[in-house]
Amino acid sequence: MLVSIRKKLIVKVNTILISSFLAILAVIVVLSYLDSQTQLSRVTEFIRSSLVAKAQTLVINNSFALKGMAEDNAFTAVQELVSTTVQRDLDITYGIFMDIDNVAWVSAAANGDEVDVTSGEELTDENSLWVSELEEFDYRDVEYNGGRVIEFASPVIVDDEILGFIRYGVSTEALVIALSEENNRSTQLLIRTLAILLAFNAIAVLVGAYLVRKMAWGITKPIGLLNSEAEVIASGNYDSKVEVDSNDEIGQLAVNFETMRVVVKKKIEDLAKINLAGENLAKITVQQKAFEEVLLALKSQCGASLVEVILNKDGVWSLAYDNTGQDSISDISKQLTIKGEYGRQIHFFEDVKTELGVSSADSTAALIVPLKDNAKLLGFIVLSGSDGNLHFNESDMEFCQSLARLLVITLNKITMMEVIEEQNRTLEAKVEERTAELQEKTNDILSMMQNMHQGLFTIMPNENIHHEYAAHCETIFGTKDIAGRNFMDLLFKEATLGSNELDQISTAANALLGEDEMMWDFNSHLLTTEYERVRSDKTSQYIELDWDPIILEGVIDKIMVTVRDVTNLRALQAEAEQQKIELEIIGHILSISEKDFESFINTSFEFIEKCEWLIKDNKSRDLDVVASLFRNMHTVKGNARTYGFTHITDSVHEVETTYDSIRKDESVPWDQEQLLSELEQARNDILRYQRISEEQLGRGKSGSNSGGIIIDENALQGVVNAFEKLKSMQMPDDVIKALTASYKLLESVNGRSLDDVLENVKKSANSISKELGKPSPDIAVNDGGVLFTTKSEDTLVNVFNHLIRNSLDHGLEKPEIRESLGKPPVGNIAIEARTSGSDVSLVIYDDGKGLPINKLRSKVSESKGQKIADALSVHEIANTIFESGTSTASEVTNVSGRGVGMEAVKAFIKGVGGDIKINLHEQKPAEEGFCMFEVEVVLPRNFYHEAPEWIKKSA
Amino acid sequence: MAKVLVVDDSATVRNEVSTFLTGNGIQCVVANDGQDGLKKVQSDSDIKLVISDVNMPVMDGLTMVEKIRGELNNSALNVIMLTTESNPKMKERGKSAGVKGWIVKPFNGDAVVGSIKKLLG
Repeated sequence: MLVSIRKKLIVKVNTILISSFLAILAVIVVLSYLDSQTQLSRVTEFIRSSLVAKAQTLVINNSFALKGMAEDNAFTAVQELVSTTVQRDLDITYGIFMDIDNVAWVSAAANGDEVDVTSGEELTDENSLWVSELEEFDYRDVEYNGGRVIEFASPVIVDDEILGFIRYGVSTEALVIALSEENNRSTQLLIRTLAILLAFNAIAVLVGAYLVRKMAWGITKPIGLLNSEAEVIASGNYDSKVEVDSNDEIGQLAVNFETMRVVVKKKIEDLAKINLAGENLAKITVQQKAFEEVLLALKSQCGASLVEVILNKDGVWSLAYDNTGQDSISDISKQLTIKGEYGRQIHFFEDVKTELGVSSADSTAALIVPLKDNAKLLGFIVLSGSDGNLHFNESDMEFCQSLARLLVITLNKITMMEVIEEQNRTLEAKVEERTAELQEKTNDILSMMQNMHQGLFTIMPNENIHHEYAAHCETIFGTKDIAGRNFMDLLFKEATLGSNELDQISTAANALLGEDEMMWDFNSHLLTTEYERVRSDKTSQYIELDWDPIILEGVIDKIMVTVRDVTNLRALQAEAEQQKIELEIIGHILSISEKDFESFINTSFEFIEKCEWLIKDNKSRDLDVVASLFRNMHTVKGNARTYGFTHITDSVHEVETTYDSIRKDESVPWDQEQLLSELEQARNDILRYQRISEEQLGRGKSGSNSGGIIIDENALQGVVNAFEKLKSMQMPDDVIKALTASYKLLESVNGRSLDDVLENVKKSANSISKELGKPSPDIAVNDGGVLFTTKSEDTLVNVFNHLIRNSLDHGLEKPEIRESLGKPPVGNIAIEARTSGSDVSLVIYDDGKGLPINKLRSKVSESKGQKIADALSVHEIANTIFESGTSTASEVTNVSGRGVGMEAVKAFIKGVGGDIKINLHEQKPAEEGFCMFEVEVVLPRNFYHEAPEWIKKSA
Repeated sequence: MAKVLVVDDSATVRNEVSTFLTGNGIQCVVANDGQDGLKKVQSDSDIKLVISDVNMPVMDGLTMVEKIRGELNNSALNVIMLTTESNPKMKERGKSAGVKGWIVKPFNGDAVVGSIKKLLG
């Protein structure tokens, strides 16, 4: 609650005024009262002492007067004296004379004007007793008839004998009356004095209050004025001037207040300018515009004819802006940059000539405003002009600082924006680039989807097909209704798959989509990868499917399905398979004589026919029948196996197995239909052999041969033998030539040189070398004019494959080792054919490291004991390599080294009537523990044709 | 050592699965139905994976899983359902019961050994 100073002043001063008057009044009253009391007691004391003095005199006189009377017992005289005395003196209330026995002779009491005298009675009251004890004059206050009196008493002494006592009661009533009068008088006086004082008081208070009020008014009036001015300013109006005419502190306050108003007004205006500049700067994105804006504001504040912005770029001061367009730094600025320290704070040079040593007609004063970014000085602004148009005072300091700060912030902002813009541009470029790449990829994918020659689509979590799918799907499935369709419906609607399988696929897909990727391992095997589909035109279509999960955060999001129509491929495969089988069958057929083949076919058909009739004739199981069926088919199977007709053995074996199980197991049913169908399969297989024999080989049909002739081997041998006999005959050269040509032609029908036979072996040697990391060896074959029969080719190929492999693996060293031994880097293998008697020897040797004789010997020693090993000759040791488990290779390679090779080779050669052995070349140099050697393969005569000597010579 | 609990009312499936797993060095315990399975899970803390049939007498597989999560308060145990049918409704129920996934019968062992071993840790 507001209480005005004036009111406070009046109340306070008046309170003090009134209370002081009241206090003075109280003091006066108290003092007056105390004074009157002192006066009273003094008067009382005075009256009493004069009363006592008077009474003493009286009593003592009386006691003298009474001496004789008492001595004489002049009773009446005593009565006379006492009563007279009482009567005469108004102050005496009573008078008594009593003898020594306390008997009153006279007791007179003043009763108005009358004196009442009594006598003769003995006085026993307390007062009388006090008196009877007295020996001289005394007095004391006593009670009498309800009032207070002073009793004066004195003994009457005659000759030292007390005869009685004279007693007078002197009343103090007169005294009291006198005192009371005096008291009343002084009280009245006091009241009068107080009344006068009060009157004065009232007047003084009234006058005081008036004066206080007047003074308070005088003091508070300028305050009120100031207050209302302050209210105006507080409401935001700084324009109204504060005018208070007062010569005291308030007047001073008002002056300061006015100064403050002016300063605040200026600051507010400055602030408005700064705000405006700030707002404008916020929109500015170009440095020059920012300079313009700030310099405009500075000019409006301080004036100036020349303004410049100097910036420090990498240590070099350069003019960033000026309003003259001169493009050169003014002399003042030059001087400032030289005296760098002026750039640290705002500074006003009132006289540039004396302060900077620059004289200019236009610019006598200069203001420098530094541009600071924290502690870093970016540059400064210079405003210069003559003293008249450039002005600066302390109150402009903040304005300039604020503008400088704004400019720095704006410059930083512009720099930042440039950086951001640059980044944005880079970013945009990158986004564009990526978008383009993405677009390209999308286009590629779309194009791929349109043009790829296989179906591709994805199954969405709802088991429907995604709308983007390879266009080829439409070709495969013959429909455009694919997008959004259930994949089971699209893929398997026309499929020949059973309902169980379809259910499994559907269930598996359901158990995969949206589930953990791990589920792919568990369930993907249920998704069928190939199936047959029956198209609307009733033709079969074979479809191959690949299923792949599309994983998103560990969950199978979609399933990608690749679809291939393999109908044509299947047909081609089937055809190729058919052809392969046909070729095999041709091989089978050609491997036996036509006669044998015919007989096989005929007997087989006979047996099958018998079986057929047996099955047809028996509606139920008959063990004899089954036994005979089994026997028949067993024979057919046996024949087929003998000739190696593998494409018959399978089905025949199946039929035989069925019969066997019927024979042995009663639970196997006798199913005629099934049995006949199985038999039919077997018959078809045999028929195929017959058909190929007829159609492809033209056998069994007269006149169907073409392109060549079949020469009987025996006949050929006969002709060859006939040539032998011609050798003793002398023939002309022409004949020999013709015969030689004829012989060679015939031989070539049935024989090939070793080089030709081993051609494939040599080729495979190259690939084996590669595998072993060695260069291909030089394999020199000397066929010695020997032609090998076709029959022997397989044997030769098998044997030499093995021997060459051994040589490559164990014999020939790696090129670097070979070179270190002074051998050519490429190894040499030589194979020579030599005839001796009726046999042919084929020898193979190489320039490798030879046979590890020592190792072989220790092997023998390990397996058979030291003694036996030591007893064996080097030759015998060498030939142990044909014994089982002998491999000296410390490392088993893919090529050889398992220790069964040579044993198998030997067994094989022995099987065809030949032999194999090691011949050591002990004279050839070899490493310690090794011995150079050759392997000699001896083959019987029927393996080769040797041209007669005379033909050899002529050739 | 971590074990697999195989729950199936069919002795054939139980034997097939457990023999296969044991043969691949994975320890196995079996249970005849959900109730039995629940007991085994409760009493054997070595069980780290449950492979369970869905349709079983006494207590079905999904109820068993729900009880493992609820009554046994065991949310860490991996459970894979072995089933012949899978439909969205079942999958939904399985998912909310925290089933790891569904193996559709027939069980193809070879493809899953690695994954099962991974689940056993």
